[in-house]
Amino acid sequence: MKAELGEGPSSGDSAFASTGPALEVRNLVKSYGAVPGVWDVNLTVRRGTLHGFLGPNGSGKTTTIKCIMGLLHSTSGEIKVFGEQLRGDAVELRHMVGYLPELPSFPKYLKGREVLSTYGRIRGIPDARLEGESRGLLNKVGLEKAAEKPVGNYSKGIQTRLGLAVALLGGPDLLILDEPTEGLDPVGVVDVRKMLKDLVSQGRTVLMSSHQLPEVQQTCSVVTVVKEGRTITQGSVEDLARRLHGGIVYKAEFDSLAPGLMDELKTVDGVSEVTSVEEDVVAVLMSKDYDLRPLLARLAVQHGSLLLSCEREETSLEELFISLVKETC
Amino acid sequence: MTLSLGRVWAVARYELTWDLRKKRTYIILGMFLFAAVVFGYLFPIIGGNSIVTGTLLQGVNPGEGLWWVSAHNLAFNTFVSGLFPLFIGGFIAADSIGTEFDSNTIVPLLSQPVRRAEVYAGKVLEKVLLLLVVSTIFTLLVVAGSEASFGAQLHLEMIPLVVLAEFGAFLEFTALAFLVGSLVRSGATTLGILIAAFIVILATVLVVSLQTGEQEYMFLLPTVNADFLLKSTLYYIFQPFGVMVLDGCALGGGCASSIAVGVVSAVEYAVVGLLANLLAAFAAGYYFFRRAEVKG
Repeated sequence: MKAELGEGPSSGDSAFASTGPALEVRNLVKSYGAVPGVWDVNLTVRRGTLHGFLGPNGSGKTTTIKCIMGLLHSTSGEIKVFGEQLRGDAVELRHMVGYLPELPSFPKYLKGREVLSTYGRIRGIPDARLEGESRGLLNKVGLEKAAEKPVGNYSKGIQTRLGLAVALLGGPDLLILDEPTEGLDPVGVVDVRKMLKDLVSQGRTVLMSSHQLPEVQQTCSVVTVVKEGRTITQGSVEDLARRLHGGIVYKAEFDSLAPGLMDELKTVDGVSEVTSVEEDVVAVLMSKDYDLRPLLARLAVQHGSLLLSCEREETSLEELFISLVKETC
Repeated sequence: MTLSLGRVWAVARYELTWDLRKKRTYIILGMFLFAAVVFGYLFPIIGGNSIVTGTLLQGVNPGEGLWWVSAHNLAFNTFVSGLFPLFIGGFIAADSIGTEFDSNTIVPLLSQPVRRAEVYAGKVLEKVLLLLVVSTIFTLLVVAGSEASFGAQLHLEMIPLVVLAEFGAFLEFTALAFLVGSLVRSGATTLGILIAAFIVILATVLVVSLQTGEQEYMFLLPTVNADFLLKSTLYYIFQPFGVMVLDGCALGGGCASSIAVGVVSAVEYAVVGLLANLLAAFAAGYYFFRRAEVKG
């Protein structure tokens, strides 16, 4: 997959506000009868950012994205794209949005090249421009060879690449990608990551949902976390780590892990979670940033043990995410 | 709300590509066009003149010069009335909306900057064009076969009327397929419901006919009016000022009673019934399509 990008942002449509967020979701509610799909999702995606949308399975990420794309009708709440409220079909606004669904499905009878020309025509791209643009996009996502094969023969990863090319048709300013690395091989993941960064460097905005937390940590600058249909936090990865837990984990190894040691550790001020990771090794997740090592050594002695080693680590987004989700249970 | 013709046409092209790459389309259309050859050409070859004298339309023998009219009547009514329209208009269209939801291909389609009304209109437009072409080819094949068998055929100026009547019959089932597809959002279930509805309507007609012998209002039943539209149009060709007898008969049973209606009135009833049904089915189909959500 080649990372260099051909076209710049498409429209720069003067009819839409040139400042403010690319996407705003306020108090979004979507219920299926009595069953809530999302209950109170808030999301602000600033222009020119790569925004991660995180949450455990069933937390409402895809439901939120489908509401934005008009595939589901929201029960209440407000969705604004480039400052304009999304109402009905909103054709003009949707010209500025490209969408990659989770596990995209295209008509099996079409070849890869035809998929792009078909959706390109529906998008209103003139035939004269469409062929060149399709060729460029197929090249960009590494599908030059598969372009003449029917979609029915494509693997999941190839379908995702094709979905990315479809999302990029017409050069939309805002890309909404639902699990864009799903089904991709490691090389594909790296390619997509680079492509998304390139898109953002060209001024485009990307909202990307993913359950692959390291992926989001490496790719996104801002993250929104949802759980059980509600936004539980939003901010830059660094800010979130600092604000919520200090972002610090101590991994401590003892010569023997006395039974009362873990229980007592849990009661220490600034400790939010203690988990046993190996025999005689515990991970201590901090909500405050201070040096825990003297206390660990003292507690070990009090419980008839010795502190053999202790490492201080920054919290990874994954640990932070797990902590967040557990915290709001 | 204004529709963009460009987008409607783009969706119609998408739909046509799909139809032209489905095996089902070729099997159904192949059988149908084969029937044109069978009834237009092979029957007369096998049966000779006797088949002409034995073929009555409302009790009248149209004769060799109107064999193309008789052949149409035979093709559409030899087996179960309405079966061809169910196959051609219903089965081909069953995929159009239901399977898009089944297979999730509706997601990339509805994610484009296109109104749902344009997607729906594009799909309807493609079916209209496809069915018009199919009806025209069928009619021309029947006429060609009839000319090969019995020489020059009469009243060929009526070909457009017959094409329109066939087209209307097919389109009614298409409209039903769009309605059911938008409602149940599954191709296989749409097919099942169409077949079940066809059987239920046929049974209703038979029961009501047997009990009351009255059929005027039956023109309004979906699929029945389509059948009558073609019958009355064919009858109109050779006896425009005649009277059509509507028998209240059951399969293999006696007729409770029968009524006579002027041919022109019969055509009018059928046209009104057809238009009302098309309008209702397409409008209701759009209502459900517009509100359909993609949950999977």
